[in-house]
Amino acid sequence: MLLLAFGACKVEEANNDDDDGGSGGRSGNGGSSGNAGSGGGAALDCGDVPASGRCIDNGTAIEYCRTPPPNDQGRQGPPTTVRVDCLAGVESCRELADGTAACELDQAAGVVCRPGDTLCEGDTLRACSADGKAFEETDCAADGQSCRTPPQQPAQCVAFSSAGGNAPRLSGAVKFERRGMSETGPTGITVDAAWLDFVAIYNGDKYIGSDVTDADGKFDAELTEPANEDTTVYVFAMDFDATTQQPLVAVVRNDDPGITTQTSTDYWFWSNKDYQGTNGQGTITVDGDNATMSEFVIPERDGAGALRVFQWIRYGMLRLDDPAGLTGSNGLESTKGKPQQTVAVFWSPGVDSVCGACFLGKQGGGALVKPKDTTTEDHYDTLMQISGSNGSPTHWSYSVLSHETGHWTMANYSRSPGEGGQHFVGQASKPGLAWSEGWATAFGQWNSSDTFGGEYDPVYFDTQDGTTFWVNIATAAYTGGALQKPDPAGGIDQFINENVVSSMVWHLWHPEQARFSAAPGGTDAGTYAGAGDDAMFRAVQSDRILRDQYNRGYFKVDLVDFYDAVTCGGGASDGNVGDVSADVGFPWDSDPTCP
Amino acid sequence: MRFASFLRAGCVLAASLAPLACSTAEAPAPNNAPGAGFENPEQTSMRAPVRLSLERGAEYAATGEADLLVHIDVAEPLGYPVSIDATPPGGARLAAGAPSETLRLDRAGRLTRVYRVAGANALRPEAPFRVVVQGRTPDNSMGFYAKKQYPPEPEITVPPRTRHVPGGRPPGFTPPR
Repeated sequence: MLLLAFGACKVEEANNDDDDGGSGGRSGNGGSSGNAGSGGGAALDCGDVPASGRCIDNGTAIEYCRTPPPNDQGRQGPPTTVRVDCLAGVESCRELADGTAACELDQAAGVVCRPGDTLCEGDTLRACSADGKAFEETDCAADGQSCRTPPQQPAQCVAFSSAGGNAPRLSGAVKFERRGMSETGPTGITVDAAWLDFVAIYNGDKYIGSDVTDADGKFDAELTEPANEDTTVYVFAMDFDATTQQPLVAVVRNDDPGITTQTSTDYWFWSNKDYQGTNGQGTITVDGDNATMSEFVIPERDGAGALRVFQWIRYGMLRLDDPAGLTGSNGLESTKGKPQQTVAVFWSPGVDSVCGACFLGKQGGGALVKPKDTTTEDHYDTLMQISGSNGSPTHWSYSVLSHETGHWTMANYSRSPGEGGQHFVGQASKPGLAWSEGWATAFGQWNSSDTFGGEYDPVYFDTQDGTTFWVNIATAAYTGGALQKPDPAGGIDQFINENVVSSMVWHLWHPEQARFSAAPGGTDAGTYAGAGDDAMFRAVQSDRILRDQYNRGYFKVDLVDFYDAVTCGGGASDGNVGDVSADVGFPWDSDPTCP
Repeated sequence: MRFASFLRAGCVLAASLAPLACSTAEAPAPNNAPGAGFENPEQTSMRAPVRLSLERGAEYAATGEADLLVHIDVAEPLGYPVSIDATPPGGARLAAGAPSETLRLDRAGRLTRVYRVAGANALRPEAPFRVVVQGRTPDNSMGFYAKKQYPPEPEITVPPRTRHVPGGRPPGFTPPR
């Protein structure tokens, strides 16, 4: 038995599998730190404890059922009941709208924040009171200051102002080595712009400015003091929440490949100084108050895969909410401005995750990043694990990266069925699992669409342990693929193949005559409804899906609930749903339950 | 689903090949029933339809030959033809085992092929023995390409961190964009 706890709460877990690590705990946002846990009791049979968790002990703790993924031989370990204690006096357990149990602020007791938490909202400093029942606000701008959150320190008002257009600046560009994907696996190395990465600039140990790289890998940072030839530029695979200024998403080193790895000791970052001896890369040239840095290229051998991982996941999040317009829009109407759960992505070259690639939602306790030799502790709501070995180079598989982001969208904006187990390319599985996976794949291929000269990309690629495999969700269910089709005479709750689900969602989502990339499996087949991005996301966020009372068919949320939601909300007509279902033999009954 | 019947089927398919071209190996015992498993909050990857593994078998000191065992683990029945190709590097040659073969993988389970390689001691990561198993549907909308080599490629090892950012990361400042 291993035991690990962190954050504001403690976690207790027991398992008779020595290879299975412990599970992390939960804490509040803002990187607040907490106490270590203590030993827990064994519970090898979950009984009726659900995967989505339930509240116990008068709402002071959560317990949920966790099953380790199958090992390389396909053996499934025993399910284990995991206990997560909520922070006494501040949090209480409650069931969220999606049925997930979570430690939330005890609002019934008047708690609105975690004592000690501080955050910046613009230039307003908000500090949580000692009893957690109020935020005390300070307008930093009133004193000519700005609100900032330095690592290891609470948010605070600091003198960080510039003279506008006359402020000193540093500009430059960053590129990285990456590989694409083909039917035979990762392609050769190409050099590409490092897009969406966080650039932090220091004079010695003093932070003097930052920016986010654009689509050309360029940055142009306003500085608090001029750069010099010895200025250090760091590039991080991370970004921050624009409101709280706390870390929002980051790729972190995967120190331990176990599924229960929830703590990392380092963020992925690179410095211009590591490349200055190579063909003049990363060299800073000063011209008065302005400086430029020559481009530097982060090679694969230095972990450039982390940049690829970050790029696709961050892009997927920004396509839904992008207040600064980094992707050219502000996100979808139905999702922009809504809070996003923070996510830490565990990846290291040569390290495979036990799960291959996976997402673990809030009920798993989140993740903690504690950079070595610092007192920084950053808590993340959720985590992903991404494999990085030669055999399973998931960092190059944008389909998988986007697919995992699809799971995050379900957790963030909708609800997960919380249904697991092994699942296969061509075979049917439980409807809840098929919905979760089918949605994630459909989202993932949407995420990688429109990025190749306006083309659509319907081909899911993955490489696992040396095997590259693909499914074209635009055609596989239509033109002779090898997917197990639904039984037209069966029930709406029948077991169903996840790629058939993603095919139906894809056809409902996209317009007819869509342009497709030159991809294995041809281009276009079946009926296209063209319901569009917002219709999809309005449906998955609607009460029809979020509320158990409307569920029909299979007892967990599944494709039928999505179909009901999209027709009830007017995102697609009954005829649209009927057409995309009939193409693959799914017995849509045209009898939605609407709120 | 257990593997015994599949193993027999695999050997029958290979009956016309060299005597060493087929052998059985201790099969794992996964629960391959579709949808099997427990309630599980983790979203694990869709399993690759086929996985390969290579291991070095018997050594024949007198001839300088060695056996290489190729295990083909099939996660789900595949309704399309699959080929296997084994390629020794220059300086080595196949002493036994068919270099190419067509397989029917219409049952889940494990299939093993044994290749006797002359000059096996010359195998190096940059000059390995390679095996490719591949297949695709006629419309190419689905398929796989599995490759393995012996000895395996070395993994990338990132050099230890020599630089440290104060506090481990930048301040939580979202700059104007």
